[in-house]
Parts: sequence; C-alpha cells; structure tokens
Amino acid sequence: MFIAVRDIWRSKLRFGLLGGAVGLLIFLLLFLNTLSATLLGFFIGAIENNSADVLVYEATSRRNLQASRLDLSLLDEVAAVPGVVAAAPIGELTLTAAIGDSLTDLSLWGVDLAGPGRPQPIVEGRLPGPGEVVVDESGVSEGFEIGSTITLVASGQELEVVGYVRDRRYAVVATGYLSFDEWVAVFEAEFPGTPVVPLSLIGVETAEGEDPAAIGERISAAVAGVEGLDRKTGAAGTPGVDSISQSFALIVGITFGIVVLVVGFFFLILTVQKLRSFVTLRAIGTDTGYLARSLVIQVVLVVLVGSLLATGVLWAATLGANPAFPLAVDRGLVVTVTAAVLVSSVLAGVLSIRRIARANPADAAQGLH
Amino acid sequence: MTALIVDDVTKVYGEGHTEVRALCNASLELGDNEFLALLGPSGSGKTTLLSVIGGLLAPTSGTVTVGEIQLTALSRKEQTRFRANRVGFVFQGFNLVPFLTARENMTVMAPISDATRDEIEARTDQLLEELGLTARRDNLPEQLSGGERQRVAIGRALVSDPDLILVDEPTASLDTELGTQVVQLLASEIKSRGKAGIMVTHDLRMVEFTDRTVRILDGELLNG
Ligand SMILES: Nc1ncnc2c1ncn2[C@@H]1O[C@H](COP(=O)(O)OP(=O)(O)OP(=O)(O)O)[C@@H](O)[C@H]1O
Ligand SMILES: [Mg+2]
Repeated sequence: MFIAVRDIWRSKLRFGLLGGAVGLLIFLLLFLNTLSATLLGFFIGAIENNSADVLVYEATSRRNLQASRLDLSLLDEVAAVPGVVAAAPIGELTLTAAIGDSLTDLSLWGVDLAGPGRPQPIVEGRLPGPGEVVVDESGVSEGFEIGSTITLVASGQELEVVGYVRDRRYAVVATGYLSFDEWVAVFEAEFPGTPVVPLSLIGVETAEGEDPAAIGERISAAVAGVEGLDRKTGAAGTPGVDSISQSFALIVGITFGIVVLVVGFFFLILTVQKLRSFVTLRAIGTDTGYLARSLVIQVVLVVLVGSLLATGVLWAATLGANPAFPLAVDRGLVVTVTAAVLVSSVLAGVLSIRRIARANPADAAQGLH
Repeated sequence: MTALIVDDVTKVYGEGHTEVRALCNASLELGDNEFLALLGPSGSGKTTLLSVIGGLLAPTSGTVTVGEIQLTALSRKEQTRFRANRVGFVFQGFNLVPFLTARENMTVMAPISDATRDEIEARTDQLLEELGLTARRDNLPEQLSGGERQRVAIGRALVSDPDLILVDEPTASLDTELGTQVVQLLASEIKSRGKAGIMVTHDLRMVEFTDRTVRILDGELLNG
C-alpha cells in the first residue's frame, strides 16, 4: 500500500492521464452498451415488450412480422389450442404520416384494445377511442405529441394522439396503436378495393403458470402454416437483430481489449522504467509478493478512478437525454463493466509482475553502470 | 564471537570462454563490533564478495556464515528475510527509491522487517537526527546532494538494526572532505551500535576509521 500510493502521489500527472484514458474508454463501453440497447429497443421494442405472451407468425415469414400475413379465420383455431386463454388480431402497417408541416414514417398497429397485444401500460393519457391513437413516447421527437393531429397522407384520414406507451417502437420508426376495427378502416382507405385485410400476427395470452415458449410450440404444431413464439424469441428472431447485436458486440469487445491493453502496457512501461527501484527494493529484502500486491493496488486504483470518471461523464450526458434518445446510468451495467475491466487489467498486470520477479536483486550491488 | 565467517568461497561468473573467476578461495573472519576495510583495485571482486556475504549472490563453492546463519542453506524466501533483517547494504550507487522521500526511503523497511512499524519509525527519526538529515527528511532523492543521498543510504542500511553492515565505496562520488565526513559518521554509527561492518574503498585515507584492512586482488584475499 505504502509504496503503491506514494508512487502514484509522486507521479500524479502520469497516473492522472492513465486514469483519464481508462475513464474515457470505460465511458465508451458504457455508452456503446446503452446505445446498442436503445437501438435494439427502437428496432424490436414493440415485439419484446408486447402485452401478448405469445405471438403467432405466418410460418414462411421467417419471423419478420412485415412479411407475415395471416387469415382472420385462424384466430379461432389458435384460440382453441390448450393453454391459450385469449387470442386477438394484430395488424401492422407502415405508412407516411404528416404531422405539422413535416412528413414522417409511422408504424400503425391495430390491436384488440382489451386483448393480448393491447397498448399497455399507458404511461400518460388514455386508451384511444374512434379517430384516436396512442403513440410510443419516443415519437415526441418526430412531433407525435398528445393533442397533436396526425394526417395519413395517402387517404387523408386524421388521427388525434391521446396517450403514450413506452419502449414500443418498431423498426426504428415511431409507432401508433389504435383499435383493430379502426386499423382495418385505415388499411382499406390506404389500399382501396383490397379484397381482404390480412392480419400480421395473432397475439396470445397464455394460462397462468404455462411456459409461453411451450404454448408457442403447441400452436405451431396444432395450426397449419403458423409459427408461435414467445415474445423474447420473436424479438430476437426478427431479421437484422442478430447483425446489429453482433456488430455492437464486436465494437464493445474491441474497446474492451483496448482498455486492457492500455492498462497492461502502461504498467509494463512503468515497471521497466522503475526496474532499478524494484531491484533495489528486492535487494534490501522486499519480497516479490509485496511488490506484486502494490502493483495490483495501483491497477485497481486506476481502474476505479477511471470508472468513477466514466460514470460522472455518463451522468452528465444523461442531462441531455430525451425520450428520442434515452440515456441512463445503469448501476448494474457500471458495476459489470468495471468488474470486467478490473479483472482483465489485473491479469494484464501479471506481465509487469513477471518482469519484477525475473529481475535479479544482485544487480543492485553492481552500482552505476 | 564472530559476526561473519567466509570459508573458502569461490565465485565464477558465466561459463566457457566468458567465464570470469571473480573470487578465488576467499576466506575471512570478522569479529563482533569489528569494522573492516576492504581495499582493492577496480574489478578485483570487492562488490562480488559483499554480494555473496549479503545474500544477494550464491557462491559457486564455499560457505558464508553470518552470526549463526549459514547462507548457502537458506531457501529463497529465507534469503529475502535475511536481507531484510540481518544485513544492511549500502550499495555502490546509493540506490535510493526516487519516488520516496529521504524519510520514506528508510521507513520502507517497515513492512518487510521483523521490527514493528513503531520501532522502525522511531529508529528512522533517530538516524535522521544523527545523520544530520532532519531538515531534509521530506525531500525526494533528486532534491538531495550526493553526500545527503549517501547518508540516507547509510540510514536505510541501519534502520532494521542488522548485525552486519556492508558498505560499497561510500566515497566514490564524493569529494575528499565530504567523503571523510560520511565515513566518519558511518564508523561512529557502526561503533556506537556495536555492529560489525565491511567497507569497500580504494581510498587509503579512509582506512584510519576502520579496525583492520584486508586487500583483494584478482579475487584473492590478502589478509594482514
Ligand atoms: N554479473 C556479472 N557477470 C559477469 N561478470 C561479472 C559480473 N559482475 C561482475 N563481473 C566481473 O567480476 C569481476 C569482479 O567484479 P566486481 O564488481 O566484484 O569488482 P569490484 O572490485 O567491485 O570493482 P569496482 O571497484 O569497479 O566496483 C570483474 O571482472 C567483473 O567484470
Ligand atoms: Mg564494485
């Protein structure tokens, strides 16, 4: 402790710079994690946080709900599967909407407002009535605010925003939820003369205590041409999710590797620079274990300071966060990332410890060369 | 009582055509409270002998006994403890730790010595006083003069209260006056504490502060 702390104290600038660099890299790790969670949330929030326990897709849609088209008649077949308490239609249609002076995409969901798939919970406002819609609160940045009127461009229909749901975006587009009948009307107005309005999904509520995944399989087996999935599986199976997750995992992994290398090499350089001191200390009877502990203490201090710094920067960044880009200091994430960096950095410190252990204390006696 | 027995020690560095015979059948006895001067030209094996005695270097053959401890029989761990508690080494190049103050360079012995921290701290303050360093105690080595650094190194060698002090060329980088002062101080510290000491020098004027002189030439000790 003594040597470790004195050393840091007498080289404040060096250790300060390292702490700062580690801090920024840890911030980057935290930020990337948050960013990836936010982006994935925007992509599949409407599926992952759906109020239905099981979502039924057209079997050939490859879990892509925009490619999934089901016939209304399947509803009764699904409802008849044992373990299914209720089945309700879910329709999704992405169209162009005008809000104020600007045009934007809107993913409009028609659901049974009292059944599985309903927009729930409403975090502000109320459920929609005729001519009304609730939107995901992140849509505020696109202008979808309570009280505003959305005009559907192709048909000229108008919808008034009366409430917000949370974490229910889909395909990175703002979402709106309204009753299934209203949605059918919108669909027919958008595509005049359409012979049949297809469902995108069937939302299923399962019996208390049943495993949704098992019920999903049961539905797939019992009803021809459909695939039933619990919402987590459905969300994860959405085309594109894998590649987004993998890209972020790669970036996070590289950043993590950089932190560990920076810490490891920094301490190795310092160790080589201070080798004469270490040799002297060993020559006067300090054992290698003591020096190793003191190096580990330094690594731990640097990483903890870095993590504190990163948390501070992240906290400062949350002041600028909004529903369109939610950012929060997630304590669990901070602890996990810090612990991971800590453990790997201490392991990287082993390089330095080995260097100290290899030094020959007899060299101390050979004086100035 | 004998503080030290060096019995027929040979030290060979390297092997084959790079082989250097730094010590040849060296034998030496040192009494308690005896301060010995080791005199010899550069490359004669002085530092090698001190290193072997100080438990830093294993002899190729022969035995070294300090007090009742036979060095060659010690494990690595025991050797480390021996260095921390039984010998004080003042190295040829002082070897202070640059990021520790004068006082800290001495109290650094606290966690590794058998003595308690309180004992080490008390002895440190006393030594700083005796060595005239009290005013400089909180200075880093780079802020100290050569003589002051040498005195800190002497303080560090004494602070764990070892029975044997080994000093390698304490005057090499000091002018005559300062060198004499430092050696005088060193002699009085060793004498007043009743310790045994060996001082390597090639300055004949320093011999007057010691009890006995041993010469070394090409690794061979010439007693008398
Ligand atoms: N690690 C080593 N490897 C090989 N040879 C060495 C090593 N250390 C010392 N020697 C050689 O051993 C001989 C004795 O060296 P030593 O350092 O003991 O001499 P010294 O009397 O202390 O000299 P000086 O007065 O210059 O300090 C020299 O020839 C030296 O080159
Ligand atoms: Mg020498």
